[in-house]
Amino acid sequence: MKPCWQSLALIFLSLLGSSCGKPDKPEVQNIPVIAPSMEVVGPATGAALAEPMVIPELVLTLLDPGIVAPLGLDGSASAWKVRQGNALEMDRDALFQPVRPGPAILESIGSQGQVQLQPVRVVEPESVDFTNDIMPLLTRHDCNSGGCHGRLDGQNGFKLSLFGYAAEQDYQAITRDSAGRRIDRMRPVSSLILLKASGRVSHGGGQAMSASSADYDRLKRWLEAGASEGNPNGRRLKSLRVSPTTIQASESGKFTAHAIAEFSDGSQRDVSAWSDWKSLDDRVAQADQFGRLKVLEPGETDLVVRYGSYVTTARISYAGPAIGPGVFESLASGTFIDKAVASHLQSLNIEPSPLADDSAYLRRATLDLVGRLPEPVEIRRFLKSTDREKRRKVVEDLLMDSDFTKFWSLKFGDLLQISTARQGNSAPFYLLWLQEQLDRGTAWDKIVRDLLTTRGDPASKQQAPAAYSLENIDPVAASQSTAQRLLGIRLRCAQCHDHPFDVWTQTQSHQFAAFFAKVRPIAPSPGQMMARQRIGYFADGQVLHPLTQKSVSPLVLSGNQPLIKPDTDPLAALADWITSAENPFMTRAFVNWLWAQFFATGLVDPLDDLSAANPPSHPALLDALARRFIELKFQIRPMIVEILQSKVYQTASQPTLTNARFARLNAFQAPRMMSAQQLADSLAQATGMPNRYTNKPTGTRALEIQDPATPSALLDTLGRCGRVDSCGSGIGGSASSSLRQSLLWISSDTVDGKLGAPSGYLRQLLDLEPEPVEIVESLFLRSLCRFPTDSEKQHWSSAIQASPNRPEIVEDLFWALLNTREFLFNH
Amino acid sequence: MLPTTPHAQMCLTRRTWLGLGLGGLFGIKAGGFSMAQSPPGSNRPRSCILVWLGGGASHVDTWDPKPDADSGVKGEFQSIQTSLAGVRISEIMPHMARMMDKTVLIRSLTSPEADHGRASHHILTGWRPNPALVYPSVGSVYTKKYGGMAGALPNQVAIPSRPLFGGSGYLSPEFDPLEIPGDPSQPNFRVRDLTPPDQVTYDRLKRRRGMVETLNRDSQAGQSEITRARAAFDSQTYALLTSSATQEAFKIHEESDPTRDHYGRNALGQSLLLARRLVERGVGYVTINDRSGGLGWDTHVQNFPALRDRLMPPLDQGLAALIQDLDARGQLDDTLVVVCGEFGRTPKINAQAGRDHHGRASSMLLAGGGLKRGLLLGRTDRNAAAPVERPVAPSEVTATLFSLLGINPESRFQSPDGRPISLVDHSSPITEIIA
Repeated sequence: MKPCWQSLALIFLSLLGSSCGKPDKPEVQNIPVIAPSMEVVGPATGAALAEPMVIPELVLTLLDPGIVAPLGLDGSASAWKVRQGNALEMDRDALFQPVRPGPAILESIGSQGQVQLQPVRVVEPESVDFTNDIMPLLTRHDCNSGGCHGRLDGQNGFKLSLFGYAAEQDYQAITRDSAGRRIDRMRPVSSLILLKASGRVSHGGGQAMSASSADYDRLKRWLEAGASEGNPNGRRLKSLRVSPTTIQASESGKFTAHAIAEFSDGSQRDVSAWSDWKSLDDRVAQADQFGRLKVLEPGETDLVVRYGSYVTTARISYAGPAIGPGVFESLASGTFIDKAVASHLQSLNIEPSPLADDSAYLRRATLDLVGRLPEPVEIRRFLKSTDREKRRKVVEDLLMDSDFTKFWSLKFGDLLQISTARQGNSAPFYLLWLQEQLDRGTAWDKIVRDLLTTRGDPASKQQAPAAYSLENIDPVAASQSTAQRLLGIRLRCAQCHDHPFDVWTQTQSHQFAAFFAKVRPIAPSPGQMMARQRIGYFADGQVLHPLTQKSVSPLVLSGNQPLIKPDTDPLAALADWITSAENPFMTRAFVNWLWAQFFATGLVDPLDDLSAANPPSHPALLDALARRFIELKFQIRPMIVEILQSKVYQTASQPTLTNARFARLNAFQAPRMMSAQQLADSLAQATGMPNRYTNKPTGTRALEIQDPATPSALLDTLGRCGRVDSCGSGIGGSASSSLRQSLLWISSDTVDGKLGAPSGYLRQLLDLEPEPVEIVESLFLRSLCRFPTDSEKQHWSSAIQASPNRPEIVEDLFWALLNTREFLFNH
Repeated sequence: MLPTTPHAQMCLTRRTWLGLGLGGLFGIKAGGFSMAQSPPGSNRPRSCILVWLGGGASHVDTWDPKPDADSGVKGEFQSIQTSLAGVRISEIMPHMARMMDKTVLIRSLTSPEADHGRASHHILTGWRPNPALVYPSVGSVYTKKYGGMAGALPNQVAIPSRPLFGGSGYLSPEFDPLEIPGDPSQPNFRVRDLTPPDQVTYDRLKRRRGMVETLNRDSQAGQSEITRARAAFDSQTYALLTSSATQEAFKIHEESDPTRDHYGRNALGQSLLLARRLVERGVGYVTINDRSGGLGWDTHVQNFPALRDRLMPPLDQGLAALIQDLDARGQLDDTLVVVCGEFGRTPKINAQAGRDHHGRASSMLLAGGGLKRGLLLGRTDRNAAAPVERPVAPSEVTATLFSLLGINPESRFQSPDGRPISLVDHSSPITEIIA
C-alpha cells in the first residue's frame, strides 16, 4: 500500500492581516491555542518530549462517516470550509462527508487571521477485513469488555477475547463457533451478529449500534463481502496515538481530537470515528464518539482513547480566568517541587492556597514523620521560636527520632506485607531487619537488592530478608507482587491475557515470572517446623507458558536484558536491572509511593498502576522527583526532606474560594485519613490513657504493634492493613471511614472511658482547679495541637463558666474536640 | 453528548469502572452508603439469616447419619424419622426432625479445602482463597448492593461477631457487618456501641454533637470527600443512637416469655430470636456465629458428648423455633435461612473419640427465602466420605444465595488492582432447590 501520509500535511500559516484573512467572521472570537504536541509514552521513557505538531493527511474512504472539523478548532460550521477539491461536502452536523474520490483541502481562518489547512484524501472503499476493521468496532461498542462477551467464559455462549487481544480467536468465534450460526453468508443482512448488535432480536446487551449507523454499515459490508479475516500478511495495527496529546483551552467550547492508528506497513489512518472516547473527568470536558470534545469547566482531565486492542491518552487542560502572576510568585520561589507545581497551576490559572500556619505545620509534620501529635511543650517551643529555619530543623529532628523508624516500618511493612500470616516465624526477623535498615538509612536500592537476593534462613538475624522469597513458591504470584510493590506495575491481568491497557503481554508476564522460579523455600520435611524453611537455589525451577506449556526464559520487561550466566541465580540479575539508575520503574514507583505518604493521593493514583492509561497529575514533577532520588543515591531520609521542605507540602489544608476542585493538583493540602495507628496513638496521647493490646505491657503504643497477628479490635476498626492483601486501592493504602468506626468513636467506651479515667489527663487537669480559659487552652493544645482563637476562647470559657456541672461540660468539650474534623484527620 | 445506550447501562463495562475510578467501588465517596430503605411490602429484597457453625460440624452425626457404615465411622448416635419422607437425621435433633418438610437439605456439599480459614473463605465468599486478594462475603456484597442501612437499622449485622472471612474483603470496610457482641440471653443485654455509656444521656449526646458542629465551623482543617464521608457516618451514628426504632429492635426482653422459651434460653437461641426480630424490622443480612464455647464445632476430641450435650441442643431447639416462627408469621418465604460450617468432619473416628477436618463431604441445611419446601439434594457414599450423587461446590451455594437475594451472581466488581471479578467463581445457582 502506498504511504498515504505526508509529514508536512498540516500547514499552519500565520497570515496576519493578509488578504486571505476574512475579518467578516465575528462568531469566531478566540481560536484556542494548541500547544506543541507532547508524546507521553508511558513510564518507560520518562521525560516528555516536545515535538512539532505533526498531523497526517486524513484519508477517508467513501464509506467512512464524515470527519469533523480538523484539529482542535471550534467545530462550529462557520469555522471551517472546503478550500479546494470537491471530494468533501459539509453536512448539517458540521461533518465533512466524503462524497467522491479525490483530494481536498479544508481551511479555517481564525479571528487573528491565522489560517490552518487540512489536506484530506478520499479514496474508494477498500475491502473490509476482520482484523483491521471489525475488531475495533467490538472494542468501541464494549462487546469484548469484561462485563460482556470479553468475560473469561464469554456471555451466553459467545466469547470474545478481552478487549480484543486475540483477533484470530474472535474471528473464529464469530464466523465458525456455534456451527457458524452468528453469520449468514447467504443472506448477510440476516446474520445473527447484525440482528443482535442492532437490538432487532433480543440481546442481553441491548442495542449496541443502530441499524442506521456507519458502524452497522461497516459490519454489514464486511458480511456482504464474505466475512474475510483479512490478509494474514497484510497491514497490522502497530500503535495508536491521539493528536494532539495535549489540548490547552482558554475558554469553554468545542474541540476535536484525532485518533491516529499506525500500521505495520507504515501507513497512518485517522480512526477517530471508529474509536472509543472517554474523558476521565467529564465536569472538565466531555467527549463524543467521534473525538469531538466539549470543554466545560476549567481544570484538567485525561482523554482515554481505545481502538482495537490499543489504548492511549491525551490531556485536556482548560485554564480558568487569568489571575495575576503575583499569585504564583511565592510558590514558584521554592524548591524544584514548588516550581513544577507552580508552573502547572499557573498554566491553568489555579491559585494555590497560602502556607499552613506554624501549629498546623508542626502537627502535620509530626504525624507524618513519627506518627503522633506534637506535645504541648513542643508546640509552645515551636511557636515561640523566631528561627527562620525552624520548619526545616524540626523535620531534621523528627527524622532522627527513634519513632521515625517505628512509624515508617509500619508503612514499609504494609508495602511489603510483613506479617505472621505471610512469613510465619520469619516475620519478626524480617521486621527487625527492616527497622535496622531504616534506622541506618540504608538506601532503597540496597534494600531492594537484599530483598531479592538474600538466601538462607529467613528466621535468622543475618538472612532475614530472605523472607521476601518465601513467596516464590508460586513464581508467577511472586513476580506480580514484586512488580506491584516495587515497580508500580500490575502484571496480574497479563497473567491470563495480553494486557489491554498496557504494553505487557502474557508472554512477557511469564518471562518476568521466570526470574523467580529458581529460588524458593526448601519445603520443610515432615515434622519440621516452618521456622526451618530455608531459601535456596533450584536449578530445575521453571515457569511454563500457559499456552505452549513450554519453559520460558527470564526476560525483563524493558530496556537492556541483564546477562544471566547458566546456573546462576536469575534474581541477582533481576536486582541489577531493577535497581539500575536507568530503570524507569523503581524510582518512579518509589517516589510516587513516598509522595502518597505526605499527600492525599500519589501523583499517580492508584500507586501500583503507573501505566500509560493512567497518567500522573503532574508528569513533569514525577520525572523531577525520580531524577532527584537518583541524584540522592536512593536515600530515603534526604528524599523525605526534599518533599517536606517544599511549599507544596506546607500549603494549608483549606481551599481558597476558587481552588476547591483542585486538590489533586496540590492547590492545597487536602485532609488525609489518619492511619489506624496514628489515630489510636493520638487518642491515647491526648487523653493520657494508653490503649490496651493483648499480651502487651501497659503503655504499648499502636506503632509498636507492627504485626497484625496481634489482635486489636480498635486497630481493626480504625482500618489497619491486615497485610494479607494489598489493602484497599493502593499498595499499603490508607484506611477509610466506616459506620463501625463512627460507632466506636461516638458511642463505645473507647473515647468516653479515657475521659473519665482517674489517671487520665482530664481528671488531673480538673484537680488543679484551673480557670475556664486555662481549661479551654489546655484542651485545644492537647487535642488540636493549637491555641484556641480569641473567639473560641471566649465562647468555650463562658460556656464552662455558666455551667452548673463543670466536670461534665469540660468532659463534653474534650469529647467534642476529639470528634472534630481537626482531630480526626491529618490536615 | 455521551451516549448512554441501554447496552452501556446493562454491562458493568470497563467504561463504567473507569468512570467510577477511585471513589466508585472501592474508595470513599461522600456519603458512601445509600439508604436502601425499601417501602414495606414492595420489592424489598429477601433477608438472609446465616447460622454459622464455625469449626465445621460433623455431618455424619447430624444431617447425614450412616447407620450401616463401618464401625469406626458410624458413631454413637442412632437416626430418627423426620417429617420429610425418606429422610432420617441424627437422634440428637428431635426438634429439627419435625421441621424437615419445610427445608432443603444438601448432603453432597464438597470442598477442596480442609483448613478452617481457607474453607471458610471458599464458602462465605464463593471463591477459593487466593494469597493476593480477600473476597467479600455474601453479606458484604448484599450491603454493597442494597446499602449499609435499612431505615434506622444497620442492614448487615453479625451476632456476636463475624466469622473469619465474613467481611468486606477487597471492598471498602464500610460493607462489613455491624457486630453485636454480648449474649442476648443475659438479663442485662444491650448492644455495645449502639448504646452510649450510661452517663451519656440523650441530652448530653445532643449537646456533644452541637459542640462538635460549632467546633467544626471554625475548623482549621479543610473539607474533602473523605472528611464528608466521615461526617456522613457520624450523622448515621447519631441517628442510630437516638432512633427509638433502632433501640427497640434490640430489646429482646420485650418478646413474650413463651416465645423466648421456645427459642431456648441460651445464647444461640436468643441470638436466633434476635435475628428474627431484626429481619422483621427490615435488616437484610444477619450472621449468627455460633461458637458455643472453646472449640466451637471443631470436635477433634470427644466429638459425641460435645455434640449431644453442648453443641446440638441449643441449635436443634433454636433453629426449629426460628423456622416455625418465621413460617407462622408468614416471613419464611421472604427470609432465607442457611445453616452450615466451613466443612464436614472425617467419617473415621480418631483416637481421641473425635473427628477431624473433612472437606470432601459435608451437609448444609437451608429453608425459606424462595426455596422449595421439603427436599433432599445429593447423597454421599456408605461412609459419608464423598458425594456419589449431585456434588455441590461451595461456590454453587454462594451463587444460589446471591440469586435468591436478588443479586446476579454473574455481576462483577473491580478488584483493587483493576481486574473485573465476578461475584462467584464460575458457578451457577443450584436450580433444583429453587422454588
